[in-house]
Amino acid sequence: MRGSAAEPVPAVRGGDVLIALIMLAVFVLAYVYAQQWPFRARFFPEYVSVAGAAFAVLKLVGYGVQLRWHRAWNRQAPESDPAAGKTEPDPEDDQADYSLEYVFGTATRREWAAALGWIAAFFVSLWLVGVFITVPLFAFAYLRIAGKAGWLAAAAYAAVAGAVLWLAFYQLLYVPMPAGVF
Amino acid sequence: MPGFRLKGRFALFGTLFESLGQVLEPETLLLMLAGIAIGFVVGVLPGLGGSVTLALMLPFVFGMEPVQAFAFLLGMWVVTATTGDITSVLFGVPGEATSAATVLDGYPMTKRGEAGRALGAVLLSSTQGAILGAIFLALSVPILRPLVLAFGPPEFFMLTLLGLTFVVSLSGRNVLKGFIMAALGMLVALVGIDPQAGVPRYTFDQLYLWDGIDIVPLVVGLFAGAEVLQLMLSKSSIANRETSSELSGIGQGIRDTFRHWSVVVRSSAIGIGIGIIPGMGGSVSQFIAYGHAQQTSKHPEEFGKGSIEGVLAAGANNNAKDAGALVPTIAFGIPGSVGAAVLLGAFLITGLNPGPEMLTENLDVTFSMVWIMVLANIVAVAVSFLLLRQLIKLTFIPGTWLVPFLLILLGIGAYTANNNFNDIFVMLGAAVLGIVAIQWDWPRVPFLLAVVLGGLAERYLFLSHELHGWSWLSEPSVLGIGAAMVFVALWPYVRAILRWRSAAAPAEVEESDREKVSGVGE
Repeated sequence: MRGSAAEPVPAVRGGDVLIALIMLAVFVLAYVYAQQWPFRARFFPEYVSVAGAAFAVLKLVGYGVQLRWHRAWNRQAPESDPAAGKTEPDPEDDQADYSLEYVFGTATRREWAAALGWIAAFFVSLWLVGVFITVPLFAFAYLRIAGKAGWLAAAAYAAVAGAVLWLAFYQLLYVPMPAGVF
Repeated sequence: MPGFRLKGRFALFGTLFESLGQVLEPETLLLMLAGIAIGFVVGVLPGLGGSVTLALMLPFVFGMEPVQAFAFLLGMWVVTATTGDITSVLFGVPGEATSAATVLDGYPMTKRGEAGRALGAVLLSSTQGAILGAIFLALSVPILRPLVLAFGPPEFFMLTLLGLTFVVSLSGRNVLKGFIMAALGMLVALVGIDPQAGVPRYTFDQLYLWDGIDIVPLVVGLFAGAEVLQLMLSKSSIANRETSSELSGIGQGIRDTFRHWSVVVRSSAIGIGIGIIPGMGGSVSQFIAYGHAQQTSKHPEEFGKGSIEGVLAAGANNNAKDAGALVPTIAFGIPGSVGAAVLLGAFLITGLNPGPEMLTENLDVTFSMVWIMVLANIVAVAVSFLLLRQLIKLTFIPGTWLVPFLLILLGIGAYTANNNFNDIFVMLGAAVLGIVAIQWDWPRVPFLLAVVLGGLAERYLFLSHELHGWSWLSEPSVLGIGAAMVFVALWPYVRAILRWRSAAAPAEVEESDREKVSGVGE
């Protein structure tokens, strides 16, 4: 039986419930939004949003049942291993990438802020001044500051990256590049 | 009439070998090698797809002979599928959208230090898939015509749903999460001008969204975004030096392709079969082959964490599907994929008419395509093996040195889809979705596949309804595919119940044994 002392029931994660609720809201809004269109246009979106909402409701009901079983298990086995019953990554999950989860889960706020800051700087610069200025500048700054590389190595990397990009994509392949707003 | 048939077969063989002679002419061979070189680079570079490059190179074939034009274009196109797997394995960034399934197991193997084994397996299985596909192309064109023509919109609609169900069933115990993600993907696929009524749907008054959301920035963001962020956070190299055996596994990877030959053959067959169906394309078939390999594997739990069978299935399928996509393109002028659609332009430029002519007076051109596919893949794989040592060394470069390079590829890969900066915002949004999905175990692949299939599913459903009302639901072929769908959807639950029972049975036996022992003691 689920919820027996012998078989721990994992706790329901708040994040999972929140995502399911957001999904439900998205499907309901998609359905409501589709009502303004003619039959030919709303035909398929209606089916998809109803199906999505039904799956989300089922998932939420499942979380409710899981929560009850988890509480029942906690009452039956209060002195068992405290680690048991906590949610573990399911070994059968598709793409359960433990190293990604581990890195995301263990990175400090400072590390997150630094990484997101670098990403934001790269894409804002790409938008403002374009790829041919951003790439050498970013490569040099990132390698010097985050990678703690030497001046010469960082400068060489930046120069090669900029030159290869310009030669390969712009001159040979004629691939349009973000030019920047300035 | 046996004498006539025999004569016909001899003539067919004569044309087959005559076309090999045409491909091996110095000028044609040089053009093919040039195409292979471009395809090699394009395949390795994430985001710059084979079909985009085909389109860019199409103007260069003006004035070429048909066989020369196809040596250049087809040589380039089929090689992108092979080398696209290299970046999927080494960096976790699909070189091509059709190499996304290779990431699922190839990249975890690289992280375990088994990059050599994964590359050996994926490259050889790619060649095997290409050769099997080419043989099929040579044999099947006259045979498959009635079958493809017998399928109507209801069957195509059910096949798209079956493909989606296959992928959702990959989600292990998260099947319901998989279906929710798939529904979300379908909604994303519906963004843009509705093809039936011309109404902008879910565009929120944004002109950019009228053309819909492109698949390239989504793929790049969903799969590569999280990996780049991981490198930035951990600052380590892609491969773990402590556990790495570097190149020692290449031979093992090659042996793996022979040890799991049935996975290679079955995945190639799926690639060919799905490739034939117009519009289904490689993005779909790779995941169906991957799902099939998982369901038939003795170790399904290893899929997604570095299963060699997953790598083989994705690699073999990826190349075989191109041959499948060429079948309807050549025989009916119906492109089986985006790349085949661009290639169709080359038919018109070189003065060829797809259809019966390609099986009669231009049969030599059709057979030359078979040889080009085989030769281009063999050359590409030989070059890849020669450069493997250098390519694998890339994975041991410190993460901080790869970050600028990968960020450039992320940005360019997303931007080049439509030359629109909004695609970069889509890529960043997809990256956020990917990170949240990884963190909370919501499967990404059903979402991606639904985006690919959403438009098709809607078109086929709409046509089915317009043509037959709802009576098509009782067609035997539709019911058959529907039954297969239900089986695939329920299979993870059935398997879980069977496992639970088999696990419970020994425990019960143990308990009764213990009771007996204690009874004896009493």
